[in-house]
Amino acid sequence: MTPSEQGHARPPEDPADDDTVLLDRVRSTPATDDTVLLDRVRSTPATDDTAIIVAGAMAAGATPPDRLTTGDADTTVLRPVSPTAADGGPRRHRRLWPYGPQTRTVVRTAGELMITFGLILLLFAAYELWGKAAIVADHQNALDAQLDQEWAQPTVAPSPGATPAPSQPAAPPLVLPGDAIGRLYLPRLGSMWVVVEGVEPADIEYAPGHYPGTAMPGQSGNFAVAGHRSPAIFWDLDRVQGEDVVIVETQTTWFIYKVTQLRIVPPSAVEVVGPVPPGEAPGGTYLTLTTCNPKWDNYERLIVHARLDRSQDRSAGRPAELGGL
Amino acid sequence: MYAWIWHKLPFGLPGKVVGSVLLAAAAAAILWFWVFPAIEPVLPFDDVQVGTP
Repeated sequence: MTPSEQGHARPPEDPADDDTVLLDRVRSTPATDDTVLLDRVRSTPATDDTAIIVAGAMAAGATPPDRLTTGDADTTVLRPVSPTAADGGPRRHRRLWPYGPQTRTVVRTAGELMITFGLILLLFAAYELWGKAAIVADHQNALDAQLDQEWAQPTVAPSPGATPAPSQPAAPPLVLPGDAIGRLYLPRLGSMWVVVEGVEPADIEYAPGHYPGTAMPGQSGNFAVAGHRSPAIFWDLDRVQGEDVVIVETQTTWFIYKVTQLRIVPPSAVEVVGPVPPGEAPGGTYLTLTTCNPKWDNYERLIVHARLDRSQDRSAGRPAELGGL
Repeated sequence: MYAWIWHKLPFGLPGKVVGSVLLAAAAAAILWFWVFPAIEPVLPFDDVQVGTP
């Protein structure tokens, strides 16, 4: 073949989005290509009828063979020729997209829907990270104000004269699910949360929740708190280290706990919220934080155990362990 | 789908661009403020308690 004849087999440079391009691509596949076939026929001596037809088509197109390398010229010349010259030419086009335009629309729409679904998932991830953090912060502010208000008015809360009843350890039993019961400080993370009563999904939606039935802060036993592994709550709980302080503020007292263990347990490990956490001495006063692990999943639980170090009366001011919090 | 929406948006190219941005913003706002808060509690990656699985 001469260079000018090979030019027919080159793919068109015009990337117009229509069927023409597809047809040309089909033609430009080597060896089985109609164009190549035509060129081969034409290069045989001029006794062949086909060659005459091709030559006539060339003349009708008024384009010299060298100029036929661009897409449009290629198709205008070859279209009338290929059905007569090559067997199965039009059929080959149908094999590339053998379905109707409706099918094409369906396939394209399905693709668009999948892309859309992917974008929605990305948006949802952003919502989980930033949207929920803002919502939780709002609710925490409201709970904080509510706690301040409750603690400011001394009603039936334990007053110095009313509390000497050590035989009843559960002195403030009138805590309903969802009620704010105190503040939890983690100076390592620079975080403070208002803790509510209850670990049902509705209770802990915007705040860490106290396991009902476990000890209250400062009581002998285990003050156990569950919180979401969301950026606004226990997201960075894995950064807590041994001997870190965990501080709980109640209406009357600051309780300063020191972290003793960080553990990852299966979700069935109820013993971690028992009165004596595994590996701790009986009779102590403990605090346990639970959240899900790993982030974004729920097949494990991240557990922080802490032991009461000291306590100080709220009237004595904020404890030094709080740092800048 | 998107080609059809683009085709239906009025007021020439500027109108189409503004309309597309408004539609995308409206869809995102609906998802963010109504759909996500509604479906979020149903999703599994938020169980934090031990005990009841």
